Amino acid sequence: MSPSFSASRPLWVALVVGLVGLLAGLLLSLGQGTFFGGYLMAFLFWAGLSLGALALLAVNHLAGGSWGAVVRRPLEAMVAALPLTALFFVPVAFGVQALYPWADQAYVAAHPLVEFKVGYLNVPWFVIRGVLYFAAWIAIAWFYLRNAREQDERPADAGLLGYRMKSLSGLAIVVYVITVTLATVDWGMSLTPEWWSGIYGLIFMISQAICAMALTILLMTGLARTDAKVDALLTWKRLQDLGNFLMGFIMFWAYVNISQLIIQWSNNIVETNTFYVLRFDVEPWRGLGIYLAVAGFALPFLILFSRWVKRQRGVLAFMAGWAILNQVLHTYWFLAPEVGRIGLPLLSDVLSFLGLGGIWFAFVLRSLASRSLIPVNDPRLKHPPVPAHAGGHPAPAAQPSAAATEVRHA
Amino acid sequence: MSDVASAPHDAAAGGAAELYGLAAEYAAPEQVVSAAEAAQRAGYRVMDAYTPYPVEGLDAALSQPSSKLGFLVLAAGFAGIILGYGMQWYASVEFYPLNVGGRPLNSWPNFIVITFEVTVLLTALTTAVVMLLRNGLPRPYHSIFNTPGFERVSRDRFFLCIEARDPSFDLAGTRAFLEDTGPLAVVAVER
Amino acid sequence: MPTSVNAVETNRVLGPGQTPASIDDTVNTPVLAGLDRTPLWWWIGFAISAALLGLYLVSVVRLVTVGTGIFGNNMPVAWAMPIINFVWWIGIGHAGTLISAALLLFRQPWRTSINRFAEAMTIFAVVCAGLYPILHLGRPWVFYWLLPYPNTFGLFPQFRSPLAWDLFAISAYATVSLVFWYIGLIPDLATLRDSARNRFQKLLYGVLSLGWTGSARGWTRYMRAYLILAALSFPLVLSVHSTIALDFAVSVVPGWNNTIMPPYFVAGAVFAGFAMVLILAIPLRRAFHLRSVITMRHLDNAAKLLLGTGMIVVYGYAIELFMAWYSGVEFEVYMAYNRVFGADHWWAFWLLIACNFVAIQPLWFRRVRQSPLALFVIGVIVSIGMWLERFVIIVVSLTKDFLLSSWFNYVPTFWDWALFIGSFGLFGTLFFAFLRLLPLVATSEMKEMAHHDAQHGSDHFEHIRGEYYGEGGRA
Repeated sequence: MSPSFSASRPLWVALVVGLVGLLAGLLLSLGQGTFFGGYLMAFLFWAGLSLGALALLAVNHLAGGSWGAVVRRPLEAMVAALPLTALFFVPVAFGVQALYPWADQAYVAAHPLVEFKVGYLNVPWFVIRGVLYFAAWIAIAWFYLRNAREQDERPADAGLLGYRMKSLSGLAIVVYVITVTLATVDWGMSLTPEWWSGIYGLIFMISQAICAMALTILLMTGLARTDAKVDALLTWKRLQDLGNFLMGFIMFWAYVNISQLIIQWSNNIVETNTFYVLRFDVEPWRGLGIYLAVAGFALPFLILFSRWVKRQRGVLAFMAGWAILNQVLHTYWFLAPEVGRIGLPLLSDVLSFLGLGGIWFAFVLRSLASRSLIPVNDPRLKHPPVPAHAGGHPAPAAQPSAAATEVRHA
Repeated sequence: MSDVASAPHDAAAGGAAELYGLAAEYAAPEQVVSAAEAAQRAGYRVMDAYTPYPVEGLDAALSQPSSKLGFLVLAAGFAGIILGYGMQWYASVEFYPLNVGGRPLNSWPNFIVITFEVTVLLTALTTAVVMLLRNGLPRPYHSIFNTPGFERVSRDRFFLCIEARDPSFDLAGTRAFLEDTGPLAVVAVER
Repeated sequence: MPTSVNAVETNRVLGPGQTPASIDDTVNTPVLAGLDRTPLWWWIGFAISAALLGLYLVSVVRLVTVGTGIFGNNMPVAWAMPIINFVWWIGIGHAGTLISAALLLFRQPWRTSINRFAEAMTIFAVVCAGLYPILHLGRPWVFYWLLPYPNTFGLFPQFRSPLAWDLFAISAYATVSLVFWYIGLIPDLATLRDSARNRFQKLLYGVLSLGWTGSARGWTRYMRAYLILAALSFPLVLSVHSTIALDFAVSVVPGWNNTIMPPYFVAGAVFAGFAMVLILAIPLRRAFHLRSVITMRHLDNAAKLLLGTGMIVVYGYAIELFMAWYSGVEFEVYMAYNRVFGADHWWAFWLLIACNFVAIQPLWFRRVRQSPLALFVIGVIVSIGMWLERFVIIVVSLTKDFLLSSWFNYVPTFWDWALFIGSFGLFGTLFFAFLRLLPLVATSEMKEMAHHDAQHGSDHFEHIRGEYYGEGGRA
C-alpha cells in the first residue's frame, strides 16, 4: 500500500527538534547533575504514551466496536515505537545513581525503612527488571503488528486474524497491568523510597490511556483533513464514541487521584502523608494541583458533557490537545517534586522533553505513513452478513446458508 | 402546546362522541416512519406516533424539538454540589466546630464523597421527575386508548394518529391520506 | 411457541427467529398466568425463602431485645460478621446497575436480556445489605440520628467520618437504582397492562405503568432520560463500593489503609455481582424457557467479565501484599505475613485464593464458558470466595492489633449465622415475588433488538466465531 499522506516534512521537523533538543539539554545540564531528573520525566511520559496505546489496542481488539477498527492505525503506530522507548530507557539505567536515593549507600544506612527494601531496589535488579518489562511489551507489540500486517496482506484470513488478536488480548492486558505496575514502582515511586501507595500504578496507567486516546483523536482528526477515506469513516457517531472514551478516562483519572488523596490525607501517617503535605502546603505545587483539579478535570468534564462538542472535529481535537497538556503537567506534578525541582522546570527538562518527543513523533509518523491509514480488512468495518430469516423487512439478499446453519442444537 | 388547541371539534360529523383524531395502524416501524414523513409533507402538525419501542427516524419525521433535559440536569448537578458541600461545611465549620485529630474544620477531602452522592441523587431524581412530567405521566386517562386494537401498540403494532385539532384535519381527506400510506387499518379515535 | 423455539442453545445475542410478539409471549406468559398455573418450583422456592425470612425476623427480634452481645464481635474485632455480610451483600448489589448502565453506555447489545432481573437482584441485595449496618448500630430504632436533620441535641453527623459517607452512598444508590429500575420497567408494565387477563392485573399494571402510551414524543424524552440515568448510575456504582472501601482505607489499620482499596473493591463488587447473575440466570433460563433470550452469548460474556473483574481482584490481593512488604513498616509486613502464613487464619487466605483466583482460571477456555453447569458451580465458588475476602480483610486484620496484649480471636456465634442465613430468606422472598409479578426480561428493549437483529445480524464476529471453532458457521 502506498502511503496516503505525506509525512516527510513533519517527520524531519520532529526528528531535528528531537535530536537537537536532546543534545542541547544534555550540554546545558553538563556537570550539574540535573539532567537525569528531567530526562526521567520525559522518558516516563513518552514511553507511557506508547504503553497507553498498547493497552488501548488490546482493549480495542477485545471489546471495540467499529470505532476500534477506525482508530487502529494510530494506535499501532504508537505501539510500534515501543522498541524506541526501550532505547530511551538506556540513559535511565545509567542515571540510577543520580536519580534514586536507594542507590546511595549513605542514604540507605540512615533510613531503616529503605534498608529493608534494598534487596528489591538495587541497581542490577532495577536494570534486569527494566529489560524484562520492555521484553514483554515489545513481544506484545510484535504480536499485534505482525497480525495486523498479515491481515492487510491476506484479506481471506482477515476475520480469523482479527479473532486471534481478540482472543489473545486478555492475556496481553494481564501482562501489561503487571509489568506497568511494577515499572511505575521502580521508575516513579522509588524516587522517594519511604513513600508507598498501592494505586500508584493505576494512576499512571489511566494517565497513559488519556494521552494515547487524546493523541489518537488528534491524529485522526488531522488525517481526516487530507485523507478522504479517514474523512468518510470518521463519522460523528464514532467521533462521539472517542469523545466519550476521553471523558470516561478523564473521570477515571480524577477518581484514582481522589482515592489516593482521601486515603492518604485522612490516614495522616508519617510514612505516606509526605506526598500531599508537600503538594498542598508548598507553592507552586499547590497551585498546580488546583489547576489540575479545575482545568484537568472539572472543565474538560463539563465541556465534554456536551454532545455537540464530541461531534465537532475541531473542538474535540482541541479538547484532546488540552488533555495531553494536562497530563504532561500531571506527570510533572507527580514526579518533579521527587526529583528536586522547585517550581518551574529547568530549561534542560524542557529540552529533554521536546527531544524525546521529537524522536518519538518522527518514528510514529514514519510508521503511520508506511501503511494504509485504515485497516480495510478489519471485519468490524464490514457490514455483517444479513441472516436470511429477516423476512418481512426490505433486507438485501442474504447468504442462503446462514440461517440454516446458525442454530446449534443443544 | 401549540396555539391550535382551540380548533373546532365539530368536524366529527354526526357522532355523539367528540373525535380525538384518526389513527392508522401499521405492522412495521419503517411504515410508520414513512407515513409520518408523508404527513409532515402534507402539512399535518398535531400528530404523534405510538410504538412498542423507540423507532429511529420518528423524531425527525415528527419534527420533535431537541430536548432541554441536559441543561436542567446540569443545573440540578450544580445545585447538588452546592447543597452537598454547603451542608457539610455549615455543620463542621459554622454550626458545631469540632477538632478531630487536628484536621482542619473545613476538611474538604473528606467532604468529596457526600458532595458527589448528593449531586448524583439530586440529578437522577430531577431527570426522572422531569421526564415523567414532560410526558404527562402519571395520566390515568388518554383518548388514544380508545383506538380499537390499540392494546397491540405495546406488542408489535405501530400507530400514527393525526389529531382532530390539527388545522389541516378534515375527516374524509385525512382518512384518504392515511389510507394511502399502506396501513392495516384506519380508525376513528373518540375523545 | 415458547418451548419449541426456546429449547435451542445459541451463541447469538438473540435466538434466531424471534419476533416482538414471540418475545412478549415467552417473557410475559408466566407473569400473566393465573395463580393456579404457578409452577410447583416457585411455591417450593417461595416457601423456603419465607421460612428463612422467619429465621431472619426471629434473629432481628433477638438482636433488638438482647443487644449486639449476641454476636461474636468484641474488641478489637468490633467489625465482624455483620460488616462482612453487609459488604458481601452490597457487592452483589453492584452488578445489576452496572450491567444496565455501563453496558448501555458502551452499546453492548447483550445487556438487554439480563439487565432487568439483575437490577432487581441489585435492589434486593441492597435491601439485605442496608439493614446490616442499621442492625449493627446496637440501637437500630434511632438509626435516623445518622441523618443530618435539625434536632434538639444541636448536633450534626460527623462528616469527616466515612461511616457518615456510607449512609449517603448507600441511600443514594438504593434510590437511584430503584428509580432506574422503575423507569426502565414502565414500557414493559404498559405491555402487561395491555395484555392483562384479570381485574387484579389490569389494576396493578395499569397503575404502575402510569398511563404510558408509547408515544414517539414520549419515547424520545424517555430514552434521553434513561441514558442520562445510566450515565449517572455508572459513576454512582463506582462511588458506592469505593465509599465502602474508604470505610476501611481511611483508618490506620494495617491491611486496610491501602490506596488500591477503592478500585479493587469496585472490581470485587462487580465480580461478586456477576457471579450472582450467573447463579440466578442459569436456573431461570431453564425454568422460564428463556434459552433464546438469555443465550449462551450472555453466559459467555458474563463469564468473561467474571474472569476480567476476578483478575483485577487478584491484582488487588497482590498489590496489598506487595505494598505491605514494600512499605517496610513493621506492622504492615506482619499483617502480610499473618494473612498468608499466620497460624490462626492462613486457611482463609488460601481458600480465598483457591476460590477467587484458581477457580476462575478455567474461564479462559471457551469450552468452560459454554457449559452452564460449570458456570453455575464457578459462580457459587466465587460467591463463597468473596465472602472469604471480606473475612480476611476484616477479621484477620483486626485480630492482630498493634499491641500483643490486645490480640483476640474471633468466632461467630449462632446468631451471627442465623442473621446471615436469614438474610437469604429476605432476598429470596423479594426475588420470588419479583419473578411472579414482573417480567424477568426488558421486553420493549428486546423487541427493538429483535428488529435490529433481523436486519443487521447479531454481532460482528458472529460468523467468524463459528468458523474459528470449526462449527461450520454455527456461530
